[in-house]
Amino acid sequence: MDRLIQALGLDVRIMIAQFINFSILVWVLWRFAYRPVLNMLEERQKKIEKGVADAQAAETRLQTTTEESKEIISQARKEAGIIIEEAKKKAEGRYQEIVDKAQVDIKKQIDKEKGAIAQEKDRLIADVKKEISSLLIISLEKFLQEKMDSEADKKIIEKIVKDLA
Amino acid sequence: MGLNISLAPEVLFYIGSWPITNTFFWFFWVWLALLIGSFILRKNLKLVPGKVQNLIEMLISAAYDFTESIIGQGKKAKRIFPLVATQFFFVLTCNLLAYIPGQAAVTLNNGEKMVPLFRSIVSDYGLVFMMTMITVITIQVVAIIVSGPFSYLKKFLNFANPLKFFLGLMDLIGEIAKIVSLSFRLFGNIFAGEVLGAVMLFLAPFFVPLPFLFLGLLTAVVQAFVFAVLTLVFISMASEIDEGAESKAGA
Repeated sequence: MDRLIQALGLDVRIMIAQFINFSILVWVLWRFAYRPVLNMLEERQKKIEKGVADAQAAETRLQTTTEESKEIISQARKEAGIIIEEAKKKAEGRYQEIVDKAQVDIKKQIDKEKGAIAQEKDRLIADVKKEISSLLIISLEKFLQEKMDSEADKKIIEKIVKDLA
Repeated sequence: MGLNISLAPEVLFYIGSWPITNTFFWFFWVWLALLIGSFILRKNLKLVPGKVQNLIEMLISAAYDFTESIIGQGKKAKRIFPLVATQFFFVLTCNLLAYIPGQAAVTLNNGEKMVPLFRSIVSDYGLVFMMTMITVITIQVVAIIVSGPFSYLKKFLNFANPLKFFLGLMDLIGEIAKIVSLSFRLFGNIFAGEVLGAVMLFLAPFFVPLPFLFLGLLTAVVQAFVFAVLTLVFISMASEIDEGAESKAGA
């Protein structure tokens, strides 16, 4: 046995040193190489999974939002159409109203003017009659002055004028 | 120039009374390189990996996946992975280091005779024996933890009847045989590769050693793998003993 140990060059001290060194190596490699690398791989895998999931979620969200926005736009269009229609109707109604009112006003105005004109006309006629009667009196006086005395004459003429009027 | 083959690693020099053999010398450098390498790796680890990090990640994750495929997912794999992976990566580094050309020519006078400065690290039986002992002791510890100390002892020393006693004895021998087979497999292969390379280089220096070199390269990788995987398988078996026994007892 001793010879075998000698032949193989076994030295307990060196073996112990190697054992300690190897143990340190195992620990250090685990602490500084295997564990960080494995953790890193796991973390990366998680991140990639999350990224893919996020991308999918974003895509679906984009789709739904696109549909929603389309719906909203069509709704808005419809509503806008309705509003315009209503506005048109209202405007037409108001226009009609204004036109009607204007017509009524004009008619009133015309009637008023007509009344005024008729009054004016009556007055004019009366004025003209008065003027004419006085003119007639003057001319008849001049015409009859020489033949009749003025008193009787005047009475007759007045009477005639009165009848005339 | 004569061919000088030594089963034992040669002593390069002494530090105090400590003999520093050429294998221990290189063991130290490989050890230091792996330590510093892992520190650098830890410091430079990024979420978006570079080329080197990618390679290391690939190696480690492949090793971890393999471990999980043998021992099952979860805590067990996480606990045993450091030992097994370190055995693999360490032995692999040591073995591949032997294929840097030109080392065989460098010799050193240790005061008595000329000794080669470099020797494949794993062709030191002391180191291999030490690693094997780690494996075997781990196996026993796992078995004791899993099945309890009494049923563990019962496996080897069973006086219930002669047959069981004999089987227990066989198990005991099997455990010891594990030490021998595991250690001498690795040591023998690497040492044989060294010797073969040296002999071929001695007999025909040109071209003839090349095929052996390639074979040796294959051996270097395969033996590192085999050693680590056998450790893994043994431990995996030890961790499953209990379930088998319980299911038998239940039935």
